[in-house]
Amino acid sequence: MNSSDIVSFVLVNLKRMKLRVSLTVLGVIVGTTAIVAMVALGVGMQQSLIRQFNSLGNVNELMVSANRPSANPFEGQVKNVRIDDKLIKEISRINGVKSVVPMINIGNVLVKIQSHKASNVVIQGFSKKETPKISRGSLPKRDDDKAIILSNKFGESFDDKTPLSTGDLLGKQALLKVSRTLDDGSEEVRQIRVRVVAIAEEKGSKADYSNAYIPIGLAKEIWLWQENKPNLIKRQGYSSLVVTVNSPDYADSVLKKLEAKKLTVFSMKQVLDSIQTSFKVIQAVLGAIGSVALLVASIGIINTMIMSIYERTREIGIMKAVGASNKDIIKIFLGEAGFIGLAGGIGGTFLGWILSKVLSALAAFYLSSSGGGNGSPISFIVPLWLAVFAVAFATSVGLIAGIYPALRAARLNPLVALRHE
Amino acid sequence: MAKAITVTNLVRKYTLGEVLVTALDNISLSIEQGEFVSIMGTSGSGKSTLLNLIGGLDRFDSGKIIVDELDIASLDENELAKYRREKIGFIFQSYNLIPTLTAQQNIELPLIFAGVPKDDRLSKTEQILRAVGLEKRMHHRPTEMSGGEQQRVAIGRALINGPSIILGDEPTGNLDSKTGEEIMELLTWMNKENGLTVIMVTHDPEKARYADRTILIKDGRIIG
Ligand SMILES: Nc1ncnc2c1ncn2[C@@H]1O[C@H](COP(=O)(O)OP(=O)(O)OP(=O)(O)O)[C@@H](O)[C@H]1O
Ligand SMILES: [Mg+2]
Repeated sequence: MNSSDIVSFVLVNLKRMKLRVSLTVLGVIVGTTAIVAMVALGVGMQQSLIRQFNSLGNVNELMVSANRPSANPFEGQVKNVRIDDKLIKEISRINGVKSVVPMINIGNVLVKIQSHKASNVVIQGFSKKETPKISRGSLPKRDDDKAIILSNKFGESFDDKTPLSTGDLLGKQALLKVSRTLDDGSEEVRQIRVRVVAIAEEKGSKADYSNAYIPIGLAKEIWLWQENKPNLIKRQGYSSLVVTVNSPDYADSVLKKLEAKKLTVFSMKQVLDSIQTSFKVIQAVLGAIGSVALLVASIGIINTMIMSIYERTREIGIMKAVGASNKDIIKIFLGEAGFIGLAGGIGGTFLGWILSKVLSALAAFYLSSSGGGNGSPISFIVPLWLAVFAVAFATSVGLIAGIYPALRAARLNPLVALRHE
Repeated sequence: MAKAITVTNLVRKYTLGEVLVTALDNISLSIEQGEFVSIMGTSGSGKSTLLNLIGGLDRFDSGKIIVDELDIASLDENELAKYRREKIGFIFQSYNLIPTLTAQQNIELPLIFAGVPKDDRLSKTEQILRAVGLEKRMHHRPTEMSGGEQQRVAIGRALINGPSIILGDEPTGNLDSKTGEEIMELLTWMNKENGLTVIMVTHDPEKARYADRTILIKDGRIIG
C-alpha cells in the first residue's frame, strides 16, 4: 500500500465520522493548548529573567578577584595571589581572552557640573578596549584622557529639585572632587577637571543613575593618590580584574585557567547556565502538567478508534478477503489516530499561541498599570521549537493511542469479520 | 492437465461452547487448472467452510491444501494475505462491497493493497468495468445499484488482480433467475475465455449445469 493511498484512505474514513472525530480532535486541541501555554509561561519567565540578568552584566565578562572566602569563618577573606601587572600580562595571553582590565571603582566622589552638584557618585575606570556602551557623544581616544562618560539618567542624580536632562550635559566641563585621609587624620581634597564626552546607554538598573566612567589610566592615578601607599600595585596588587573573552564559548575554559592560578572567578555565564538548567526543569514540569489534559484526550482517541473499528468490522473483513495484509490494516488505523493527533496538535498549538498573546497582553496591561516598569515579568512566549515539539508530541500521542485499536483491527479473523453485521 | 488445487484429508472442527461440530470431515478432492466446478449440498453441509479454507480465509485442523504447489497450511498471516491478493478472487452471496466506495473504487481496492500506482489502477479498473458491463455505473455507490449490478462490481473486484482461481459462495443466491443467469454467463466467460479455475457453491441445479463437474457434500463429506 502506497503512503499516498494511506493518506487518502485516512481522510475519507475520518470524513465519514465527522462529528465524532471533531470532538476527539477538540480534546487533543485542549491538551495541546494547555501544554503550549504552560511551557510558554516557563519560556517567558526564563527570557525575562535572562533579560534582567543581561542588564546586570555581560556573559563575556569574568570578574576575577584575588580574595576568596576563607574556610575559617572568623578569618573573613583570605588573599591567595597578588594581582600585579605581570599577572595581568599572563592572563591576557590565555587563549580566548580579549582584554584584561583592573577593576577600579572610586566611591564617594562629588561631581560638579556648572552649578549642579551630585554627591556619592561611583566612578568606574574603563579601558578603551572595553568601553561602556554609549548612546550619545564619542569615546575618549586614550586611557588617560581627562574625560568622563555619564550614566544614562545621571541628570536625575543632582541635588537640584528638578532633574536635568542628561543629554544637555554633553560637552560640559565637570569637576570631580575626591578626598583622602592622611596619616595625621586630616583630610585632603583634590579636584580634577574633566569633560563630559559621552552618555552611556540605558542599562535598566540602578547603575543608570549615579554612575560615571572615566578612562582607566585616569582612574588608576586617582585611586593610587587616594590609597596613598608607595608601590601599592607591586606590594598589594589590584583587588579585582575584569577579564573579557572573545565569545561566551571561551568563558568556561578561561575560567578554569584562572581558577588554576588560584584566583576567585565569578562568571555571569556560569550563573546564567545554571539558571537555564533550572528553567529546563521548570518548563518540563509545566509541560508535564499540561500533558495531563493530553493524556485524557488520548483516552478519547482510543475510544473513538475502538468504536469505529467495531462499526467497520465487516469492512475490515472485506479488505482482508481482497488481500489487505495485517500491516495495511495497522497503517490505516494508525494513520487515522495519528491524523487526529496531528490535527489536534496543529489546532492546539495555534490556539496556545493566540492564548499566549492574549495572556501576555493582559499581564502587561495589569502590571504596567500597577507601575511595573518596562518589560513585564510575566509573559508567554511560544518559540518555534515549542510549536514544533507540541505538534510532534500530539501526533505521537495520537499514534501511541492508535496502537492498541490498530492491532485489534489487524488481528481480526477475516471470516469472523465478514460475518459481522 | 495440471492440478490447480489438491485437497487431502481436510478436517475443520468448530467448538460451540461444549459442542464439537465437524464442519469438514476428512475431505479429499482435486481440481484441475481451468476447471469450472460447482459444489452442492444441504445447508450446513460444509460447502462454505471448504471454499473459505481453499481461499485462505480461515485455518484448518488437519489435512492439506495445495494450490499451485503452494502449501496453504505453511503460510503465515502475511503470506496468506498475499495469496488471497494474488491468486484468489472471492465472490460472495451478499456481494460484500464497501458501502462508502463507488463501483470503481470498490474494484480498485485490491490494486491498492497490491501497491499498484494510481495511473495504472485507473486504466485497469476502466477495462474491468467495461468487461463486466458497468461503465455507466462507475461512480455509483452500492446503495445506488441493483443486486445484479452490485454482484458485477464484486466480480470485477475479484478479477482485477488477475487471480488464477475464482471462488463463488452462492453468487446468484440473492438474485432473480434472469439476473442470476447473467452472472453465470460472466463466470462462464471468465472460465472459458480467460482460463480461470472457478469453484462455485450453489443450491440451484440449474446454475450447477454451467459447471464442468459438480461435487456433492453431505455432513462434511463428499458423497459424489
Ligand atoms: N464460526 C463457526 N462456529 C461454529 N460453527 C460453525 C462456524 N462456521 C460454520 N459452522 C458450522 O459448520 C457447519 C458447516 O457450515 P457451512 O457454513 O460450511 O455450511 P454451508 O454448507 O455453507 O451451509 P449453507 O448452505 O447454509 O451456507 C455447520 O454445521 C455450521 O453450523
Ligand atoms: Mg454457506
